[in-house]
Amino acid sequence: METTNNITVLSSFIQAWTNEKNSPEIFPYETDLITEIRNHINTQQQIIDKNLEQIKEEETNNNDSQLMFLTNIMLMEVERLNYLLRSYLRMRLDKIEKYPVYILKNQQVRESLSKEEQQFLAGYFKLFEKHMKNSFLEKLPKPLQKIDDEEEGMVAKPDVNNYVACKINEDLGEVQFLEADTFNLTLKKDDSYIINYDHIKPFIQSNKVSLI
Amino acid sequence: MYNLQNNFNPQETEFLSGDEPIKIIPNFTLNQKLVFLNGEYGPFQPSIPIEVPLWLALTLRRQEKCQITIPVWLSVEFLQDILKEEKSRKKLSKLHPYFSEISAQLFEHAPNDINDFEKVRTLVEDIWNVRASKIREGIKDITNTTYCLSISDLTVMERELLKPYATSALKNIWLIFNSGKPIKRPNFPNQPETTTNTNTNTNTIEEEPLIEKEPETTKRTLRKFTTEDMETENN
Repeated sequence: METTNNITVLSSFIQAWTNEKNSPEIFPYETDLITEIRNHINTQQQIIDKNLEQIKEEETNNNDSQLMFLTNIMLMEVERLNYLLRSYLRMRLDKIEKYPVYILKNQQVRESLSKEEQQFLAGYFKLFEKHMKNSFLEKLPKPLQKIDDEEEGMVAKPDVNNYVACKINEDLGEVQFLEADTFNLTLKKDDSYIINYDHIKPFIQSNKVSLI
Repeated sequence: MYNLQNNFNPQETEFLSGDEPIKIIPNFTLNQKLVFLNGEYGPFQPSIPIEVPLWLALTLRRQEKCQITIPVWLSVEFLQDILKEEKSRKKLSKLHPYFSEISAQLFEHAPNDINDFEKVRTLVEDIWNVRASKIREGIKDITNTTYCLSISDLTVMERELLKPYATSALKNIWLIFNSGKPIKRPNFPNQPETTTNTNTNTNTIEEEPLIEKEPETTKRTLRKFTTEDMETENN
């Protein structure tokens, strides 16, 4: 039935939103989820617009109050979804603005961005470079003029050693984490930890661990 | 930079709690179904209970179009049991993850639907205070060798309030702990290969107690929030 399918759309999107908020890295763009949500919003918005037209045209107030009531509820739901979408997109844009050179240099990370985000990145980087050059880079000696020099530390990278809160979704048994000294952790279902992001990164992609 | 914060503020957790299902008894008729992204609700008939998302229940209640059936975990008996449980042991009891948010919203918009409203409110406050003091006690266990924190029984609000502190504290501990070790650097010409860290404690990892009384500087332990071991020691 459609409803069971749609329950997972919203909860998966909220999970993607939470992951994005908690992690320092950019996750792959959720094209399918977002298309479904936008489709739903569009159909609802059309109905809302039609209702509002109808309410304006009708002189009597008898059925209007029910129609208005229904339309208001639909508007509220659409507003909630819009808020989620906007927040998700803004978070990703902020991360893009923070690490433009790093993303441009990494093909893999670039593929996590949607087409529009890649365009945004290209335009933003052009402006950024131009601004840097005009402000002071031109006046520096030639060897110091690069802004994408990884060895000299000019590239800002997301710090994968931030600590994040995460929830275990499956029984993973005893996992060994490599660090200064190795430590073992028994990861059971429904446990939550605040732990180094680097350690649980491989599990997030397979959805065995989700950030909370 | 607001979007780059790693935790939800209370308004956002309240927004998230809005999707939780709750039972209402409407006093209006709506023969259509409400089609939302996560399901269809309706039709609504007066005096017939129906389950809707919390945000819808509160909207309807504000317009006095329904009566909200208070969930079981917000009744006086249940809360008194929880409070007794919380006071008697160091471990945190299991609560609804959105306990604070849902109770706050229900207090604000549907006080008349709650039996013994004042009593329930004081109980909720007491439970919050007891848990908060337990959490503060648990935080004191963080030492310079803690590498992760177990937070399984916290509600969403408590977790989000704890996160900024705990994440930055643990990060700083990690930085200090790893500061003496050679960091991997890209190979500059004419420099020796970096060596990996040689730590000699490989055999102490096996039988680590969960909570340590005097942590050694090179041994790392798992810190749990609630000290069950201390409890069993006293028994």
